[in-house]
Amino acid sequence: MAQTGERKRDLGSVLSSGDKGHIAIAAQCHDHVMYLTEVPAKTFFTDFNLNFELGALVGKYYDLDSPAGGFDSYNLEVEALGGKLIYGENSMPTIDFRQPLIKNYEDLERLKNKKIDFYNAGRFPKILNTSGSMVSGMGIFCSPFSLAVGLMGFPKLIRAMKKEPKLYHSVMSFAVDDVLAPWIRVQNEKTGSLMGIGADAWASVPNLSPKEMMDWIVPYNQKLEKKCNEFGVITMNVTGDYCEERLDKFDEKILHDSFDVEIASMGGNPALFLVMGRWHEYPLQAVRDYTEKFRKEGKAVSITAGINARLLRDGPIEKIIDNIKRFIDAFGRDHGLSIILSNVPADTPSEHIHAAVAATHTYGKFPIADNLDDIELYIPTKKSFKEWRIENESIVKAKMKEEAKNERCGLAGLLWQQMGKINQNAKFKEEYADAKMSFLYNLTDQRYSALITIENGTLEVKHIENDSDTIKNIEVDGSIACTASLFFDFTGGKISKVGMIIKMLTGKLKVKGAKKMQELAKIMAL
Amino acid sequence: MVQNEILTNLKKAVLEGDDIIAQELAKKALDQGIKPMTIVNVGIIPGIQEAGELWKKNEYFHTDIILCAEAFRLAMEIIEPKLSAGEKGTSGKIVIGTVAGDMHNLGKIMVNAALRGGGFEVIDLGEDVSKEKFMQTIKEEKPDILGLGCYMTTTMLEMREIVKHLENEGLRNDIKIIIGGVPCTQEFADEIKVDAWGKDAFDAVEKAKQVMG
Repeated sequence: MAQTGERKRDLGSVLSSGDKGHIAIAAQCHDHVMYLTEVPAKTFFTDFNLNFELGALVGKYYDLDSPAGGFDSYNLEVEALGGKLIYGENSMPTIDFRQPLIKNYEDLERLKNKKIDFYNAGRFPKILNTSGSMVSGMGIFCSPFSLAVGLMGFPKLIRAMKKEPKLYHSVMSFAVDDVLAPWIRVQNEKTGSLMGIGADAWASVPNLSPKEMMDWIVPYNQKLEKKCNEFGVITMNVTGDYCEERLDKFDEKILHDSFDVEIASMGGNPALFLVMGRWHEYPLQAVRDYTEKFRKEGKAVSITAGINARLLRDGPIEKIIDNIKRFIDAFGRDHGLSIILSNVPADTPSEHIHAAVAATHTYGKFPIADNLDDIELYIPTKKSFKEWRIENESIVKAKMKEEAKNERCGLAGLLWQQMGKINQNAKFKEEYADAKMSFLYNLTDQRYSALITIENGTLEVKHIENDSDTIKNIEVDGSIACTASLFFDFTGGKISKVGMIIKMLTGKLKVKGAKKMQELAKIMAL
Repeated sequence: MVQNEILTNLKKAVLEGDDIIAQELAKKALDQGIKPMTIVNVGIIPGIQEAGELWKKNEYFHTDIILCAEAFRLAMEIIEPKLSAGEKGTSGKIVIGTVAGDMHNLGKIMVNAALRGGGFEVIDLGEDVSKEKFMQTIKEEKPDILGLGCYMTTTMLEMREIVKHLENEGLRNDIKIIIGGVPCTQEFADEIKVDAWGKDAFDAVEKAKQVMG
């Protein structure tokens, strides 16, 4: 059986292109997509269907392994609560920190008493009604600390933290209990997403020390995680990114402490983000030194390694390529590595991105070569985006439309990320060439269940609506029925065999065709 | 409380970001008849300067600096009106602001305090400042330096427009320009032909002193 609960420790797998045979490369790219496609900022950041469509188009242009683009994920909750945003002519909207929503307890009380319609407030409905998403099955939110910054402004929030802790804790509790948990639940109900990722750039070094983050922020990330687990959603917060600007201030101890913060915000699983910092200058051995303890225990460590935004823009190309090569050489062989182009600046030359993609796909080809210097890198000359778009837009859009039909919602999307790769496995193809079997993962409290079929040596995962008629009438060889929370607990190994038997006896976990289910586990072990 | 003790405690309050105490001690120092310039030079500036040293040693983070900057601001609010014209901004005059479309002010708050601690007179135009507002202020105030901040890669491009505007208005040669903010680099500074890039608040002070010669 797929260890779905393990997704947490491998966010990189969400972007994985393991089935393509190379390390995946993605891009955090909203400004650049807007610039390249010449769409006015206001349109780009309010029409999310267009936003995602253009992001996907630019993703195809660059041959990225997931759509490019994105939106202003730090603003949505604040805007929905009534906060003022500045919509610039050419820039991403920003919160008007001159007029924070919370200046004191009275403001907080007023907000608490305000009834928030999570289906209709601000741009929430635009997100909820967007067909497709950046990463299938994943909700996006602003993490508790960054949301609190959006509500109060960084200086006032820090002042509260240091001088008026009661106010700080009240604001953070409000962020978790009254805003984020309900908002994530609504995303789950509406879209079926079972995973949420929280953006938390404000909670990074050197904005805060790792100790401050561990003491003041991590408990709220964990509180959110616990609350969302209750309705079956796994949340992760990208808290603790190490972004020291001055190389002379690089400090291995602080780096390692910030990794502790990252892991504590990721449900305790070793998933590291090296995103916004000057990673082309920091020593990568410092990261290996940290992950050694996990590797010795045989634990998979995932690393999302970022190509610095300013390096991407300014180049030179050779330095960008060299940085990717360094990452792959350091982590490609014994970590779950994916590359991300961090917050690609608007006017980044396209050839810089083409080079980054070519380098990742070439040096990152599995199995990773012992000596990357032996590999010849070929960077294809590409047309400008404008020229390419004229020739390819209709073809790409038709393909995207086709792909959208196969969109896998909820658990099906997550399972596909892990199981889809089996179709590239020769042993599976051979052993199951004539097999025909089907399995149902019925998450009883979710909008969607997942149907897995194996036929003619091909595995497929689809979502099905969780209405009782559909579920009752479906004929499968094996099935599991339980809540999402319980499903993640037992697939993640959090429940003992005895515990599972008790759950079965009390009717909380229903398993049919146990032997066939074991067969599925055997397949996944291939 | 003796005068020396007041100044020592004032420095400590600024360094530790105790804004209300810093303001009270600044008032007390004046009440005790300590010269305003002495209060600034012995009680206030050393606090922000030491914070800068602790920042360089990784002992202070933005959380500390931001509180320190606020304590500095509140203490200076009391003392500044008492300074004579010749005592203000001895290092030079700077107009700073975050460019149009950008509301981020964290870096600017710290830069503001660090520059003032470095002896500069700072005219802070705030956030989301239009080209026109920068031009008008430059014409009126005739500063030595223009400090431009931004946080986003899109608003960063506005800096180039401001430089062009200054050139078109024939003002570029009369003023030095320093840029700062997350997306900026030395390469970008060279590209848009400004005089310096400050990688953080304390680096900005060093650069400001350098460009002043």
